[in-house]
Amino acid sequence: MHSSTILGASRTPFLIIIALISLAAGYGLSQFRATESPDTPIAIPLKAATLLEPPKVLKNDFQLSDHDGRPFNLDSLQGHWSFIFFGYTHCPDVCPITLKIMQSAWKKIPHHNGEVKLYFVSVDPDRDNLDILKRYTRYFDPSFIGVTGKADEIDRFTNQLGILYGFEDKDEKTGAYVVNHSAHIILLDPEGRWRAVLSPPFEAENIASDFQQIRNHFGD
Amino acid sequence: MSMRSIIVFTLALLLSLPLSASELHVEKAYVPEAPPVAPVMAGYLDLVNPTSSPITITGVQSPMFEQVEIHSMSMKDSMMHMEQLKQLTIPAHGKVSLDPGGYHLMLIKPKKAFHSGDMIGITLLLANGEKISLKLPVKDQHTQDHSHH
Repeated sequence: MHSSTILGASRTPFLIIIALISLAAGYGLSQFRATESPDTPIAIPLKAATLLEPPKVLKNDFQLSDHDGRPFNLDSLQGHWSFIFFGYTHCPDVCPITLKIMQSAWKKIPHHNGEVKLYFVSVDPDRDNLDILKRYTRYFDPSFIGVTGKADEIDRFTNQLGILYGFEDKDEKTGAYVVNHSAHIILLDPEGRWRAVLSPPFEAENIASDFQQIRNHFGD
Repeated sequence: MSMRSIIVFTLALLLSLPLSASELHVEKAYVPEAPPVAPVMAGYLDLVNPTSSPITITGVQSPMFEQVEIHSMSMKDSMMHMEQLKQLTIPAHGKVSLDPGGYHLMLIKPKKAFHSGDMIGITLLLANGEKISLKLPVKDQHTQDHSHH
């Protein structure tokens, strides 16, 4: 059994991240999807999404890059709904499966005026340069946007969103390594606030219908 | 019929038999199409062992990839963890499914871009020395439909 290690001395120790995330999760992620609970302040019957109530305001303290080299920060997430998924292109299973499901969901979600965007954030910038990321992300949908940047900038973004990741040891022969990571999809509202989290296993139908309900309820 | 042609005929018959006498059955094998730039692909299949003794796979090879590994996926500390398996045993009268989100073949560094409709040849190496050759179709789909259990 491998243990998760963070590569690079500048990384926040893994256990501290877990502790922070657990706190954040306890703070924000109470279940609001049950409609029958008398305490539920917002009654939207959701299948895949869990609402954060109130929505979490994010700090504009991360500076990443989209796959065209444009700056990506909290300002980039204003004025439209954002689905954000974290992964890496050496990921054989979870990442392509999720992006394929989002490709299907995208057929049911009106997005052609840029009112909804999907970001695939690579947490593996050593191997995923912008060009690789662009070709990878656009394969699933030409409107999908790849994002990455320096490790500590990625950490400032993931820490705010309860996203965990860690690197396994490198293979002695090939130098290849596995990245373990959260498989949640984060949904931000047009003010760039964290509004909901979607948990796997995903189905395109549920993602699309949940998003439609959330959007109808809260408006743009 | 001359003796010589009988020998030739018998040899041809023998050679046309499968090289492997293994009882391992493979079902629902496929490789989802991946972005051409993707450095890895996944392979999925069901391994059925109808015999009364376990069958162990000790390795997987493909001339189309630099390396092939068997991986398990599991949710741990709210992260998806991937782990390489050195071997995979299919119990007697049992079945092991390599499915999206679970076990999968990790096909590392494709030597060309594969598209839906292509076939990928792989060989399963068994602990008893047998080899099973398979062809996995590349499909433009990532998930089988799990919504109607």
